[in-house]
Amino acid sequence: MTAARPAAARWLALGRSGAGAVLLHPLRSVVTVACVVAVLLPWLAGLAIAHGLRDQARDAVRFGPDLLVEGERLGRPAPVPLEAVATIRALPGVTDVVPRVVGEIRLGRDDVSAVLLGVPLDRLPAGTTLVRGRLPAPGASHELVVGAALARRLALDVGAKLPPFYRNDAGERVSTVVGVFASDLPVWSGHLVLTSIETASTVFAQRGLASSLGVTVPRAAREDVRRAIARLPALGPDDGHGPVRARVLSREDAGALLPAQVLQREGVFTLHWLLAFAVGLPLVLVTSGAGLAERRRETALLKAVGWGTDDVLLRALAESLLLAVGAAALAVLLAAAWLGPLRAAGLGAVYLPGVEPDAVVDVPWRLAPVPVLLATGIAVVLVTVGSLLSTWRAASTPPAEVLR
Amino acid sequence: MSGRGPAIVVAVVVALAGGAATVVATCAPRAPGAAARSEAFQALVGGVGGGPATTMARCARAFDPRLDDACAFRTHPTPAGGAYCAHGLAGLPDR
Repeated sequence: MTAARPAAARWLALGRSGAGAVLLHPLRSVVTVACVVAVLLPWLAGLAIAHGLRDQARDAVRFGPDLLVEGERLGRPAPVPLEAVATIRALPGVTDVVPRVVGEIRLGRDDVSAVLLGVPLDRLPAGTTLVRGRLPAPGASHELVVGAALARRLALDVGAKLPPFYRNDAGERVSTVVGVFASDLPVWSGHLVLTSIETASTVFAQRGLASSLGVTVPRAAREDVRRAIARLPALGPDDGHGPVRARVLSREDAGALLPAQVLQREGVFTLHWLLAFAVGLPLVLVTSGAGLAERRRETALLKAVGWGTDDVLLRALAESLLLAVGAAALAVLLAAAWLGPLRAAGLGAVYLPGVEPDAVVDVPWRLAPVPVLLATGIAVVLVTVGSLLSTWRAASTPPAEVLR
Repeated sequence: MSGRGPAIVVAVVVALAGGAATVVATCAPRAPGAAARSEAFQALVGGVGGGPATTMARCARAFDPRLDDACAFRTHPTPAGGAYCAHGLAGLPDR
């Protein structure tokens, strides 16, 4: 007990001296912290966006159909004839079949890309808080709900009229914006245009076709129905080009597909970061101690007045730990500020193509503990290795030689 | 170094670490409000999106992997060229 007290007092004194060393060389401390923050901040922010995106992708799967049926021609996805709705609905176990049209359109003078989604309007609820204005009314034609990013880019608001933006030999009509999606919805709502399936068919000049059919099936019957659909000789009557075969994607398949793509992107992002990290590594090592003459002189002076090598190393360790933990914590706080109050300004567009630099739609993010702990560990290793190595080398050299 | 300098350094680092821990504790779980809005949107449209792009300008698969089975840019002549698609690779501009 009596021996423990002086030891603790010695450790405390060394820690205090280490904390003092942070202030003794303010420029070195600031540059070290800045280098570590510059390395960690983009990585933390990027992974936070990846986690947020993965959450939203999971929702897209969870609320998607049990089975997604598309046509197939020449080994590629093809539209589904609407006759297939009745055929599939008649299969045992099928509860519901909903056709929908999804395709790209270009709007405005600048040909802004948008995703047109046509759904049966009788499936939509009477009212929703997701939209400013209202949803397209059943039976109404050419009524659109547009995404927040699209609305701002094209200066559209509820009641705005869109001149014909498509070509159809049967006639082209002016469309009316009846609603604008809220900005706090998933990122895929930003450039979405929601309308009736009839209007979407008119826009694409493709009558009697859907991009896909969403099939509702109880879990127990899912595999049987899937096989039954895949075995159908054709999804519709022969149009002279041969049968349209079915390709079926289950919710489970989609559940594996969607997060995998986000994960792949996350992996590629981390790979980039590793390259940047490799470039930044020598910088951090140099600023934290390697090759600094002042650290050598300081160490030599301490040794000259009676400090042991262990004492000098412990002092440097305390200094490094304080700098590393402070830098990692600062990086976390800055990442949260960048993604939260600053709405991922600049970063959203890098991570999510199509998101404007000053994002209208909220960029999803979630700061998970694992990347934060990893970032802290990396910061500690980086700063500690740089300073301890140089301190140990200086401490191993006779003070007279260093101070000469 | 004498005086209150070392104590101030320790206090600043502890405050930063405490702030960071609070931020992580607050931001790590998904906000219930945001989750509810996301679910309501997907329920309304029947599940759309899921890819790393917000439009179908380059490939439909990047917007929603269920819409297509391949990206045209995957056939890029460069070895591993698919990875250099703007949607496949974080950080590179797409034009």
